[in-house]
Amino acid sequence: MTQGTERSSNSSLNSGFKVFSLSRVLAIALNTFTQLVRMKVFYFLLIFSVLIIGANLLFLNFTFEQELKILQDVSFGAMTLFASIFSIVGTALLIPKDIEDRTLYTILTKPVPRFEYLIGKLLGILFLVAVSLVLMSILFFAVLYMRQHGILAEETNQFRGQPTPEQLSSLKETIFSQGLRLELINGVIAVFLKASVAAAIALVVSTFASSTLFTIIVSLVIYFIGHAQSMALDYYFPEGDMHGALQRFIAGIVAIIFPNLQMFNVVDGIVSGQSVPVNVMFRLTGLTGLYLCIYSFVSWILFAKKEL
Amino acid sequence: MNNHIKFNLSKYGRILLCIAVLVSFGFIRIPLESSTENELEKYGFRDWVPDISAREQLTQAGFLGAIGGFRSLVASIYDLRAHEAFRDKDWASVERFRKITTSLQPRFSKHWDLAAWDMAWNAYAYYRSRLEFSEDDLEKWQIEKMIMPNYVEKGLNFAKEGAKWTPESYLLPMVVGDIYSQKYNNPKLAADWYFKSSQAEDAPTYIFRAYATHLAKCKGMEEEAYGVVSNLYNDGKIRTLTIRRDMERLEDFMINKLVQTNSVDQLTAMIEKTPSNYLLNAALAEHYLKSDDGTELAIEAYRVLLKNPKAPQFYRRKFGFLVALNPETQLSAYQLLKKMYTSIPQIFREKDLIELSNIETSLNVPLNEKVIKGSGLIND
Repeated sequence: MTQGTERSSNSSLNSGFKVFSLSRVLAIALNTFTQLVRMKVFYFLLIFSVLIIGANLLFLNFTFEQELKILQDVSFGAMTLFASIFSIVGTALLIPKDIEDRTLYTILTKPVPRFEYLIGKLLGILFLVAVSLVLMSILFFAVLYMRQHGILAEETNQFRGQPTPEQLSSLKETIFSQGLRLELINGVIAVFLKASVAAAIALVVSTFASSTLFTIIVSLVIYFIGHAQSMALDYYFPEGDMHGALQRFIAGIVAIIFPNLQMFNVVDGIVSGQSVPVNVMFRLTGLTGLYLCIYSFVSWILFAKKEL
Repeated sequence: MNNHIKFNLSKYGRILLCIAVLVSFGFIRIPLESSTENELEKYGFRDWVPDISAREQLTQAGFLGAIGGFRSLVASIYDLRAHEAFRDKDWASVERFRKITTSLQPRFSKHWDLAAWDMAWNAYAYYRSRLEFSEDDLEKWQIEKMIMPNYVEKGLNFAKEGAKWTPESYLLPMVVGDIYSQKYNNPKLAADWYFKSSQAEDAPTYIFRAYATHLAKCKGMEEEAYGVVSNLYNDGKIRTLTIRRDMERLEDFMINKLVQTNSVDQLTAMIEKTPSNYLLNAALAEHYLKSDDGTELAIEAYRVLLKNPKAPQFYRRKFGFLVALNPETQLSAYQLLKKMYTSIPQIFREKDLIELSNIETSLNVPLNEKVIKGSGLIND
């Protein structure tokens, strides 16, 4: 092959290459998802089942409002915990594992930009978190549905004689308003959004971290600061009150650098019976999208020239 | 292969670029996040402030959990702890844990309800039973004059504070009404709070009836109460025994007032003007009954009254007893009353049953035909 023909074959190869290919990203994402599933992560569902069934059975001598609330609290608590752990630990494991298995080299020697590799990995972990949350939600909603019907039957039996249709419908309304309702889906979405930001944080950290353990610890610290930063801001920047310049500077830096994860905590209100307005859900989703874009970009800056 | 996107910054250059991106992003997102937080605050999602006092109340783990997105779960854990303390009759701990649960989730009305219940009923009942068994006069005095009222007040404060946090719910104003009614024996304040509760969208119908009942107990507010109770009575959807009794009592009040302020002639003139107002006929009958030979005229006034379809059923009973006063018509009056009792026993009060029993005795009604068989009295 002459030099001229080699050049033309290279240019024809390059002309068919897209700077960003969604199919490549999806292929990596799917591969990441399979990789994580093979790690038998779904065994956590057993623990989750035990937790919510336990919460369902242990508090039978409480008022039905307390019973339903405890069930929702335990379920949402477990969902938040599992989703956050999956996001942080899963993401922290990915790049080191790919290096260890040498999969990373195989991928990067193909025409796959590093940016696509990172996006694919992130989407893979988010897909896993989403699937886990869907499975947990199905289990949670099923138990809640059964419990609210059980409570309705118990409360109906406590009536002297047969309750009137009016009494029955009022009782049903009272119980069901604190049981399974559409609003809970917003809670699950909020848990997912927070876990997504946590995964993006872990992705940034893993691009410069020296070990998996370091990534997990640093990500957890950022996760914690993310929850407390709005508190620091409220404390150091109250209306009309001025604290020391240094304190305000530090609080400002913390607020600028670290994500505000407190924003995603809407589950507490939802369990109390409050509704998240649709525009707030859109805002939260939009902000999560922004976080994912910016953190992926930062990850790429750090990862683009990293020696592997 | 990775040179499709050229990126030729040095290591430090990349770090600086990352910092620049993060800082710029920080400046962009902080206003967006603040407005989202404001929205959430507006809709009641930011009621708990994780300040120094909250840190003092909660354990370290509880505090971390609460700021880490597990506030509701932490509140439930403290709810369980309060329940445990309740079982141990440790009322100070119950109060402390209830304060925590209500501060963590102030918009969950059940937390306030349970807190008020534990203080105003459970702790109160516990000390009342201790009072009964105590032999020390000083201790008795302390319990009765200080501890018991103190717990009722604490319960009231919980309920009032909860009512402020949950204005859309009927529950806490109802609890405040219950405390004023059952613990302070203050029907006026109880009525005010029951009314407030009854205005909530989710309020069951019995709360408005509780308002009417308590209003009917308020001295000096009989006319207002009559307006409310008569509306409930005439509405007729749920005519409870209490509504019937209140209605009769308040109508008696209105009739007495008419009797005191109007002469027979004035009442007769008023009846001519407004014949649909049966209270005027009842007042006229009362006037006649005050004179020695007015029974027949009173019966006649009642006859006119009973033709009015709006007149409550208890006037039939009154008419029956009036007719029974005359020995000549006593038997027919008894048969009328007996029929009435069989079909609408609710219009007979305890004293009416005693009177009916007396009539049966005077008529020598055989035991198997008697309406009132000794212990057959119903309670008001």
